[in-house]
Amino acid sequence: MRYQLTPINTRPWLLNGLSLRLIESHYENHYGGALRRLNAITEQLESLDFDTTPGYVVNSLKREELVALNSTLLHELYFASMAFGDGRPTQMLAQALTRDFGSVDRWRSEFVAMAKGLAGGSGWVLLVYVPRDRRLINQYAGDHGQTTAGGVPILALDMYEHAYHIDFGANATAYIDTFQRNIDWTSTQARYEDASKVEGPRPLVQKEFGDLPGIGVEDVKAMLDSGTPVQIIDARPRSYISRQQDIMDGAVWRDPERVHDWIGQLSKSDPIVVFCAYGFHVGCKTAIALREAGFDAKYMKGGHSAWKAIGGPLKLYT
Amino acid sequence: MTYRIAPLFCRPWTLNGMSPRLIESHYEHNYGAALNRLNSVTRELESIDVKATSAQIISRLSREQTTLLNSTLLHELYFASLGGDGRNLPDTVASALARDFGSVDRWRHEFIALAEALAGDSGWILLTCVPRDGRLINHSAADHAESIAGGIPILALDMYEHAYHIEYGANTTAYIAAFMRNIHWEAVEARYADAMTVSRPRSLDQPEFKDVPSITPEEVQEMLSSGKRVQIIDTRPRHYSTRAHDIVEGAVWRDPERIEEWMTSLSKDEPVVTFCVYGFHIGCQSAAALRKAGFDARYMAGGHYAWKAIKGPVKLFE
Repeated sequence: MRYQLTPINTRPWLLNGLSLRLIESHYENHYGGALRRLNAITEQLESLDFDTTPGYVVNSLKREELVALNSTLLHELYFASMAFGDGRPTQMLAQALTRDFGSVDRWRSEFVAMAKGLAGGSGWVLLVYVPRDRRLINQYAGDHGQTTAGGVPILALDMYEHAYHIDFGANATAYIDTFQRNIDWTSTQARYEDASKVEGPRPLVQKEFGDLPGIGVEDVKAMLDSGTPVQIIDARPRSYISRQQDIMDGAVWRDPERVHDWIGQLSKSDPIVVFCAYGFHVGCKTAIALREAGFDAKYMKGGHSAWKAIGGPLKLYT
Repeated sequence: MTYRIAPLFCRPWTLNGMSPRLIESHYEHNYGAALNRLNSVTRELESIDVKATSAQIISRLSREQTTLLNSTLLHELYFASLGGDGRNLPDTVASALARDFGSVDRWRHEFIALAEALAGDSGWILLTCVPRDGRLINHSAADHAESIAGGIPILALDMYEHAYHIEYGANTTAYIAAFMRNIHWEAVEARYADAMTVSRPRSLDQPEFKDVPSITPEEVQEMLSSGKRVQIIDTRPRHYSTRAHDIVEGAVWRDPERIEEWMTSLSKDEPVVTFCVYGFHIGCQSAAALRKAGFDARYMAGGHYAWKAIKGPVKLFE
């Protein structure tokens, strides 16, 4: 498999304050160099017998491949990030930046500060869409290999010295300002629209409990913190709980196999949250039994483990 | 903005050779801690006055944020990678692996070799879909922050020691084998289907020349090296070519403004390839004019600089 070259995605003669010589050298030597290295490494990897090759050889080739592939992808994005324009975000992006950073100005200050924060060190500053939370973040990469897992970068500022030394020498501040003036917000918006269509990681689906309302551990914690009355039932199986050291602060343990013995002690006027070890069938079934008996019960998503994972308070289970 | 926790995706008691104790500790302490720290760093970043804070501090916080966000995302993917029987690959995944790695077996050997090659070092082994080329790639990430820019990871093996030491001590080989036995291929298939719907990075769009056929520099190089007859015309503008040092080996320079004068010296029996500096209007217009006159002409995408970026041979331009 060969990675094909992408033609330069910006019209260099239209850029404001960046010379043809700089862009040509960058495209030909750095982008082109990365792509050629990537193809050479890929070819070598394809011919390798992984069963007999020493681990350190595999390791170094794969590391080189990661760096060369990301350098290729990010350089393509860098050139596509610039065009002749007024440097002002489109309305759609201005709204998105305001939603995720407070204001366009604040986004810009953060982005610029991150670039300056490199202080002569090489790296990338990226604006990345994170499908998991459907939001934009500014991200810093200390080398080509660092990017957000499953994120879609939509704007890239190359802070390697090869990106500016020919025109700016060590004056990184002037280069960063120039980049800001040249940002192609129209194509950034197109990339943002593409990125917005990317599905987040698939959530856990428990079809058999599709109608059962759940509640997040963060929401339960907020209820407890604000003093909202709530009855919290730890319904981890007896076989499991007998080996446990801790229980959620504010919860009482009840045996899920004997719901009818203890259901009479609960109040119908306060909501009930029930959970098991991880949030699968035991907690869900208990919540269903309570709902059928007329209680306002929900199961806590992720169970005891999720409560511990957010650092929720615990006490010794005695 | 708060990143919310994801419930544990796999049913720990169903895993083959990995104990609930190991998974609980991993989910609570490592995943949970990453998420909690991610939220603290995000809050801190949101609350600082970006204009009054030194760029170094913003840069350090942002770097931490990247690491923690990726640790969160990759741990969620890791837990969502477990819970299947590891052996029966759905057809779509099997044929995708065969397409991109030669065979499922070869993919498996490469993936395992990458994990073994870490040799006790920490890191991630990921199977990632690269939308740019519509293909899958294995890669290792030496820390949380490394991944493919714009890639969508669909299978993750955690090789940090916290992922196996409780149960396997230093025996990584046994841990890797246990992971492979537990891969949830149906979930991988669903993520693969999602990843394949992600648009590739937008290509350069020149609607005004959409009817002019192009040829890639790789294809031109292929024609030249296989001895195919082709007339290659360098039509960089006169004011540009007077300052140029080099020209594509095998090309002749012709002034794009005087096309009517030199057109007659071309043969209609052999294809013509024209190009300008970067592959924008001049090469395209020349190709369009030649086509109008009945020549089989195409423009070379990316122009002179794409040729140089693939290290195509050049000679001194005199």
